[in-house]
Amino acid sequence: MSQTGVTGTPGDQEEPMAVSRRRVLQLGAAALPALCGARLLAGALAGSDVDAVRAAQPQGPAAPYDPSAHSWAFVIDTTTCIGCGRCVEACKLENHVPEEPVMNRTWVELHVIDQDGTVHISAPDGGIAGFPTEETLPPEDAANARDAYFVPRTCMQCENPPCTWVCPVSATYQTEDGVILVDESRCIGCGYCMVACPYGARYMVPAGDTTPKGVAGVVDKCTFCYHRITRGLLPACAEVCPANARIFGDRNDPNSAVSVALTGNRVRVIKPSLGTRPRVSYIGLEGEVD
Amino acid sequence: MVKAFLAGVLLLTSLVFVGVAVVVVVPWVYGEYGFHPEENARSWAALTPQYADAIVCARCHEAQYATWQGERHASVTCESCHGPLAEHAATAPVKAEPGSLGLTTPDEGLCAICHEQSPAKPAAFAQVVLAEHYAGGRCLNCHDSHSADAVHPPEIPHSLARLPECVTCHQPSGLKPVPEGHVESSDAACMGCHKRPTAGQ
Repeated sequence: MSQTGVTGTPGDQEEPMAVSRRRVLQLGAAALPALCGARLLAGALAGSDVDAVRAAQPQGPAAPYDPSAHSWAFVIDTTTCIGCGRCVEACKLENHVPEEPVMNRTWVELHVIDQDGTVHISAPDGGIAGFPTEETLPPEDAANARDAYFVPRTCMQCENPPCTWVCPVSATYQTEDGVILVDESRCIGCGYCMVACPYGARYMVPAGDTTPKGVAGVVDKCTFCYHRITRGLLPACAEVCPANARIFGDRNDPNSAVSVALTGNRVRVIKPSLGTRPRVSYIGLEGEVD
Repeated sequence: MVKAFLAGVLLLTSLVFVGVAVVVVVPWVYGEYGFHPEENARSWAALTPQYADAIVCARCHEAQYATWQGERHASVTCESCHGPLAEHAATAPVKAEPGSLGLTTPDEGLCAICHEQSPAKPAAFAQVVLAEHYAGGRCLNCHDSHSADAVHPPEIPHSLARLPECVTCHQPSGLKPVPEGHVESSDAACMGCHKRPTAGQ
């Protein structure tokens, strides 16, 4: 009997039911890879057909994306940021972010630091239209300021994310390459993750609007432009940044721009005491940042 | 007694069976990141990008690409000012003449967003105080948007001794008309571009 089980030779005389079951299993085993292959093929065809932008890229046929081979990270250089807000606009257009000024996957803040070290933060409309000097930085403040600079913000894609812990339906999760995503088919829109996030990186899709995938009534957030980075493109905000203030790349690659920036600079993260271990680091931050 | 023993064996066997079944059937990452997240991550990765890369723009707009590359605006990609390629592709016919496409053309406001003077901007970055920098004039009358260079206007060919303000003669309808696009300015603003050799002043 054990020999039959191991070799599966057709010599054993069992009742027809067993034979039938075995056949079903064999068929299933044969069908599984075929189905997987068909789906991969369909995915590849759909990609080359629909995605004109990707087809226009100079690279050859892309290898299947392997999340375990990457560890994405951002370094944001506040010493070069000019506060133009192009990143905010690009993010809105790239990711179908609601037009409401308070809802952003990424935004830019102006930090003005007093002589006594107090940090004054402003971000009119998320910085999407820049920071007109006379409106955002009154002359008396500028004269008293010890320092002033712009701080682009986004989801920190924490390695130790509070948002995924609190989600009661496990709708938000961390991918192997380090990006926190929302499974919109599971999200019930309770907003616990928005409360748990120490960085204010999440928003509830407002009534009448949807996520990029067309789902309403759920929470949305920065995905590091997952549809771009898995194709070898930069996130939209990094793509349009005119000041090279947004350095994005793969930490697993020691020669990537982000690895070079991480090793060559004194970087710090926002709210390190929370132990969230953000994947977004900053060059040139001063004082406490909320 | 025997029944109790058999029941115990049955219970133990069931537990072992269930344990083995769970280990064999359930993926070891089950529940770690939620339920079946790989499917969902793939659906996020399948979204269509809107922004491309300057090299894609160069396929049609070679001249502009050549002017832009290697110049001071080289770190500003095409789509930073002109908007996403997908929008351009959706509104423009595919084989139209380059230059006739429905491209987003930036205006003065966009120049100001980056180049308006602010103490929060890096000191090395090119900034102007708009009110003092030829106020009212259009940026692109003097500056090339792709290379960021300013055109060098002719220097003042005559002596300035015993002469009234520039605008006395140089007005659109004046004795010596100025080219279109000029705005009425102070002498200092005129001299800012139409420089005089130091010796002649």
